[in-house]
Formats: sequence, C-alpha cells, structure tokens
Amino acid sequence: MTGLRQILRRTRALFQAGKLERDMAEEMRLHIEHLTRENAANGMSPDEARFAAQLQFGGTDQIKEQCRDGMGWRVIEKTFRDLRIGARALRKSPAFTLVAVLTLALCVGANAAIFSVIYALLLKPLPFPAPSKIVEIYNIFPKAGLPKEPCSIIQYLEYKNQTASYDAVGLWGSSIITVGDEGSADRITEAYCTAEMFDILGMKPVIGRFFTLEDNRPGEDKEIVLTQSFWESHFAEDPSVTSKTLRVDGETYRIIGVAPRAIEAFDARAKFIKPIAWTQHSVSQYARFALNTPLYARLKAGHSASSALSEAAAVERRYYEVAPENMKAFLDNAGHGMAVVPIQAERMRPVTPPLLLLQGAAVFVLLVGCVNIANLLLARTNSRQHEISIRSALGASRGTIVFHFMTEYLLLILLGIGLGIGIALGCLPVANHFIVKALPNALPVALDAGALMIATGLLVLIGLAVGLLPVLNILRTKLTGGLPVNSRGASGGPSVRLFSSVLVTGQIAAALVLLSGAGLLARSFAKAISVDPGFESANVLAANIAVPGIYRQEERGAAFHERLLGAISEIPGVESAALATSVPFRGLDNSNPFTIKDRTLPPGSPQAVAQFIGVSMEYFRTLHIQLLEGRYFDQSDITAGRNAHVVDERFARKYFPGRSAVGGRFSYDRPPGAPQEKDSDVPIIVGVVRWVPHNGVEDRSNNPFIYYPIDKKTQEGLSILVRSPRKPSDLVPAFREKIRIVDRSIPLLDISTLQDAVDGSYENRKAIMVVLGGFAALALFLSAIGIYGVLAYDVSLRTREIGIRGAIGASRPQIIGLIMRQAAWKIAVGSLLGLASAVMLSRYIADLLYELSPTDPLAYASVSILLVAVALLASYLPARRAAGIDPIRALRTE
Amino acid sequence: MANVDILQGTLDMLILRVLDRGEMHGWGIAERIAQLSAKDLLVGEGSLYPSLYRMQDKGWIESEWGQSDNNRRAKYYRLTKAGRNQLEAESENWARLVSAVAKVMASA
Repeated sequence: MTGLRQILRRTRALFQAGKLERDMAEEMRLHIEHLTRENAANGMSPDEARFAAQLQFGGTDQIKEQCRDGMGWRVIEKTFRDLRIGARALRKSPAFTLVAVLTLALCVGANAAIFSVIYALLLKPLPFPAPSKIVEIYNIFPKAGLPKEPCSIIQYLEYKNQTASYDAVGLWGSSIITVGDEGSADRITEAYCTAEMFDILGMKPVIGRFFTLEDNRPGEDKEIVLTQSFWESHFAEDPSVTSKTLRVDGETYRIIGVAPRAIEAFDARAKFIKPIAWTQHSVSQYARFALNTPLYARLKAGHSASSALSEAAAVERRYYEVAPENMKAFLDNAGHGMAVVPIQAERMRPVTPPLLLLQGAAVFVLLVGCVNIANLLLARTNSRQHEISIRSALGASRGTIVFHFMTEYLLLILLGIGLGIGIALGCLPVANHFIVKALPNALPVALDAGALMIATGLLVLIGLAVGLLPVLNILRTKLTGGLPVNSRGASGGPSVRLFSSVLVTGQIAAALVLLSGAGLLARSFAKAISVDPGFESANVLAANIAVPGIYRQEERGAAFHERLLGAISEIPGVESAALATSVPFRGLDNSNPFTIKDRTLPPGSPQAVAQFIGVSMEYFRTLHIQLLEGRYFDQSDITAGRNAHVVDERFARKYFPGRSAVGGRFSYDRPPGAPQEKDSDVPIIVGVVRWVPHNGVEDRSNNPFIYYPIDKKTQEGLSILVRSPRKPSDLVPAFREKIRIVDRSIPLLDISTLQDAVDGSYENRKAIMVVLGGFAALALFLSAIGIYGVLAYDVSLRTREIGIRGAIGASRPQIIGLIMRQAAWKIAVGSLLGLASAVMLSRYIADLLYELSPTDPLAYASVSILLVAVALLASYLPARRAAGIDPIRALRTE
Repeated sequence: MANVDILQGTLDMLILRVLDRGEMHGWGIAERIAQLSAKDLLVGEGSLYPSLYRMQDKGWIESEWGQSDNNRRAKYYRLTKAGRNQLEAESENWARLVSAVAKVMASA
C-alpha cells in the first residue's frame, strides 16, 4: 500500500513540479535569512553575516538536487526527459522512424489479427459451464467416403439408455423454415432438440421456461423457446411474450420462454428452438441409420471423450451382433465407426489448419521484421558512437546511456505496436466475412481485450529483446576510450557485422519458407479453378424458393413444378429454366448407399455411395451439361412409367468399367426386411453426363452424382435455374413478379448468378492464398530492405577501403563484384536453409493443397528464383554505389 | 568540537524524534538536535533537507507553510501516523543496537 501511495504522491508532485521547486527555494532562502540574522545578532556586519550564512548553508543547488533525488520523482522526470529526447531523435530521422514503425506495425497487425481470430475461435472457452465436457457423437463411414454423418433417433435412445459416460445425451438439429403468414412470410433458421440439450449446455431461461422431455412427443411438441436476439428483433423484448404464439410453416406454436444469449454461441443461426417429436416409424428397427440429427452429450466427471468412444464402440458392437446379414455387410463395407469429440475442437476443425498455418506464417513475418528492426537499431546505435562518447565524456553513466537508448526504442516499439493493433482492428471485419462462410454456426469474432493483452505483452517483450541487442552492444564497447578521431572507425566491429550477416541470412531463409507456402497455394489455386465445372456458368441466374406445404403432397408436386417453370419461361429473354434440389457449387448433402443390380461387388469392397440430386427435365439443357452417352430423361419416361435416372461419368467409370452404363439398373439400399420395390420402380440409367462438382471442386469424398426426376419427390427447398442473356439486374424484377403470380406466399431467396456461386466456392481458398501471399510479399520486401540495409551500411563503413582499392586501380566491375560476392554468400546460404526448412514444413500445408504435392518442384523453383532475383537486385544498389565512390574524395573525407 | 558523524537512517530517526514533540521548521529541527546533544551532533543543512524531502516522499512527515514565533514565514514539518510508527520501530531497533554494541564493547 505504501508503494501505491508513494507512486500517487510522486505523480501528484510531478504535476506540481513548479510549485514544489518554488517552495524548496523559498524554504532555503528563509533558512539562510535566519542564519544571517543569527550571525548579525552575534555582532557581524550585514555583509559578513550573509556571507557566513551562505557558507554555512552550503551549495543550495546541490542540496536541492539531493532533495529532488530524495523525493524519488527523479526517475519519472528522467523517463519523461528521455522520452522527449527520444521523440526528438526519432523526429530528426524520419526515414528511419517511418521504416521501423511501419515494419513493426505490419508485422504486429498481421499477428494480432490472426491471433485474435485464433483466440476467439480455438482458445476462448465456449460460454457454457465446463464446456470441455460437451461432446458431439457422430457416425463415420471412411470406406464410403463419408467422414461425418449425424445420428438417428434410435442411436439417441441407445446412447441415452445404454451408456454410463454421460450426464445427459440430446439431439440438436436445425433447418430453414418459413415463419409468419402469407404476405409477411420470412425464412429463418429454427433449431429442434430434445429437452436434455438445455442441461447439456447448462442454460437457464431468461424468462418463461424450457420444454421438458414430456414435450418431445407428437402432439405435445407445439411449443417453442425463442432466442434472445429473435425476442429482441421480433418481439421488442416483450416480457409477456410467453402468452403469445408464432406461426411456423403454417402451424401455430405457443411461445413458452426465451433462451439466454449463450445459446447463440452454440448455434448462431437459430432464431427459436422447438422440441423434436418422433413417431413410431422413426424408431422402427429400419431407421437406425436414418442419420439426420446431430447428437450431443455432457461427459460425467471423470469420463473422457476417449473412454466414451470405447463405450460407443461397444454400443455399436451390440447392435452389430444382432443385425441382419446384409446390414452387417453394409457396415463392414462402409467401415462404420463412431467418433466422440469435444464440441469446440469439432466445430473448429474446418478452420483450424488454415488458421494455424496463417499464424505460423505471421510469426515468420514477425521474425523477418524483427531482423530488420534489430539491424536498423544496430546500425543506428553504432553510427551514434560519437554521441555516446560525448555523453560519457560529459559524465553520463553507462546506465544513463542505456536507459536513454532503451526509452527511445521503447517509444518506437510502442508506436509500431499501437499502429499494428489499429491495422488488426481494421482486418477483423474482413476476417469475419470468411469465418461466417466457413463456420455458419459460429458468432462473429470480436477483438478480445484478453487476447489483445496477451498479444501485446508478447510483442512488447519481443520488441524489448530486439531493442536490447544494440544496447548490449553499447555495454560491451569501451566508453572511456576517448573520442575516436573517426566516428565510424570505432563502430561496426567484426562481431557486430558477423551478427548482422547471420540475421540477414536467417531472414532470407524465413522469407523463402513463406514464399514457398504462397507458391504452393497459388499453384494449387490455379489447379482448382482450372477444373472444368462440366457446365456453362455464364448467363445463368439461380435462386431458392420455399415450397409451401400444400404443394408438397406427392400428386400435386409435378403440377406445381410445371406451373412454376411455365411462368418463368414466359419472361422475355429466358432461353430455358429448370428446377433442382440444389445449385451447383453451393453444395448438397444427400448421400445414399446403393447397389448395382445383377452385378455383385466382390466381398469386402467398399460400400457404393452416391449423392442424389433431383432435377427437372430441362436441367441439363439449361446448364449446358454435356451428354456423353444415352439421353436425358424426358416425357416418354413418364408415359412409360419408367424410373429413369441419369448418372455422371465418374459413376459410369466406377461401376460400369469397360462397358456402357446406359440400361444399367441399381437400387437404393433399403433397410433389411423392408418391402421390396416393384420391378418398374427400380431405377434405370438412361444417360451419362459430364461430372459436375456440385459440392465444389474440393469435395474429397469422390462419390459420384446421380440425377433423379425431381417430380418424383417434392421437397421444401427448391432451386430455380434460369438461362438468359439478359442482365441479371433486368431479369430479377420480372422473376420475382412471376413467382408472386404463381403463389404470393412463396419467398424468393438467395438470388445470384451461377458464376457467383462458382466463384463463392473458391472464396475461402482464395482468401488463404491471398493472405499467405501477402505475408510472403511482405517478407520478401522486408528481406530486400534487410540485405540492402546491411550492405549499404557495410559500404558506408568501408568507404575508405574502397577508395584505396579504387586508387590502386580496382575497376568498377571488380568493386561491384567485391560487394556482390558478400551478398551472394548470404543469399545462397539463406536460400538453401530456407528451401530445406520449407520442404520440412511443407507437410503442414499438405491438407490445404488441391491435387498438388507439397514438394511440387515448380512451386519451389519459381519462388527461389524470385527471391534470389529480388535479393540480388537489392544488393546491386549498394554495390553500384560502392563502385561510384571517388577515391580522392573518399580518402580526403575519411 | 566533538562532532560525530551520523548515518542517514540515524538522522531520520533523530528528526522524527524531534518532530514527535510537535511541528517544527527546518532550521528549528537542526538547532533542536544540536541543543539536545549539547552540540555533539551538528546536522548540516546539506543532509537535513534531503532527509526531510525523502521522509515526505515516504509519507512519514508532511509539511505546511506557517508563521514562526517571531512572526516570520516558515515551512513546518509534522509527523504523520506512518511516521510515528516508523519512529517507534526505529527507537526499539536503536535501543537493541545500542545495548548489543555496548555489551560487545564492554566484554571484548
């Protein structure tokens, strides 16, 4: 406490410095006056008395100085003075200050921005009690190319009743639905869950109540819980909201409570939560692998995800033991297993590798930047040897000098860090744009004070370490050696120059590592975007609609589709229009196992799985998807009652190798024991088309696509594709009008061109490439400055030597060669080190590459050439300056 | 004049002791110490003022401008609570030190 009061007192004293000084002077004047009076009383003459008093009192200035020291605010005063002097020194060399501050700001900005994102997404615990205990349980079918499939109602019941690892097990899913009534309809995301989810997440309602397990039953499920933001945005935080109702998908739900904001950290899109109710059908034995709802659980104290996983394996084994033979075969062939993973790690899996890669890259940029700062400071301190000598000659102690320099560097570092954090703040909205795309369920990242403090603390430490280097150098040099005749002669001792060379070599190596990463990403991006999409994306407009429930009955679907397409085709300038269950490159999630008829795969071969897309007859013609064999399905199939399907070339190659797939038949895998389909219902392949990457080119499952006639099964969400040479902006109003005429309750959503959908699928890959490319460019630029700076400084130190060489007949090329040889060594060693490190580190980038080996020679070769060329150019400039040194002048001035 | 050197800490203690009797100005403190020690201890102004300022900084004493007996302006110093505690602690220390040193000097 005394310490704190003392600081307060000192700070106050600092602001009253003038008054304090006056008081001190006055007090001492009065003291001397008193002594004078006493002396006069003892019989001295007034002059004598005053003189004696002053003699007796001593030197007032020294005493004052000691008093100031005693008050302890000397330290603060000195700091302020040094800061002032430092600021002045920095202002006096604006080029140095600008380069140093900007270098620091860019390096700090990059690191602070990425660290903020990493902290918010990966490190900061989710806002639930004991969040590490919350796990997601899901199915994996690695042999069928399905890395993650949610669970079924049956699995939920089994895990709930047959396990001992969890306090609670619950289902939580979400879908997009229509709320409100005709005319004011709105499409929003709803979540549906079982009541245990509120316990798993450890939530208490803000108002009202949550539903209970009693409500997870048909008939009891017309109750909903609002999220806090939906309550705010749609109900103006009305406290009596629990007596209201909400129309969802044409049905009336009672609002029973409001969930706290923390639930939005679990599912950022959900606006309200309703109970899942299931019928007897969903729990029939055939429905065990109707996998459509994510399953979560809270681990009991003392249980870990890995022990829960072995228990899950036991649950599955129990099922397997009693499963029918064909189900056993399916599970074997698909390599079925379970996964139990803490939710934070699971949710962040898609962004973790790129984020860690970018953070690693940012650290490399920081290293490269720090080398420049260290070299700049070394050179600056050395060139101020003269100043140091004068200061020390005037009586400054070693500590004072070090303190003085450190204050100056600290000022520089703080300026850089401050500016860098500003840059990071500016980058966050951009980062959020991409995070929302990659993680639709996560809340946007905000700058976190904690994260910022950690980052700033680390950076200041690094900065101080860098600033300390040249200062330590001061400590080593002899201060008392007198003023050197030649201010430069004393500086840049061999060890300092060696140290600078090592730094620059390391810098080149680090830059090459970054460049290699950027090169690999650029090559792989070029490969990804050059993949033939299999259709013509130009001049196609895509939109989604929600199909009202009344059109979703089997017999009315086809007529509705016809009416819709008819209306759109009437728009002038529309060449053709089609319906589909999804828009290419926007992704679809409808994987199903199937079996080729009359051709049994050898036992143990992987389960056949394909992704199914419902399309209208005009689909292929609208998108210009090339027909390779057979025909598209058409009216004749309907008249003949054929279940005609179209498959893509990958399907044909994989399942009909060496023969035609046209005429081939396959069946959807049905649950064992389910009634067999009629022979006329068995799908028949009528055509083979080009492969279209519906999930974007990076879909790694490699499962083929099967197109079925959309009229066979209507669904709630439908995509409309329109080909027209008219400008989209002209087309959209007419489009909207036509849909309104068909049914004014249908909302038209997500209108975009197909080209946008294609480009959008590359956006995150592009962002990673651009950021890493930016880092690499920055590192390249900094290294160029680095090698330029070191050589230029070297040349300035050796002016005299070069002058002598010139005087005794060294030619221009010889002098250029002399300097360039030095540079070449550093560049060669740095590049080799960099290449070796890059190859060693390349496995960390392998996951982010598209069809490219992480040791792709072309990528490494091109970036190495780029680096060497830039580094040589940067070293040529000082070499040319060296060659231009006039021997006479060099010898005279030095 | 048998002038004895005093250590800084001892001087602080003496000043605190003098101020314990009541507030006093700088030269008054010096005179008082000289008077009480029968002029064996002469506190130079060169050590008096730094000591006063240091103790103000530590919060043991505080100061205020006032009028002296003969109606002259002077800066008066006064003990604070912390200063009184400090004086107590130092007196005790001092007594122990003196008796210990005396024992050693007597017996050795």
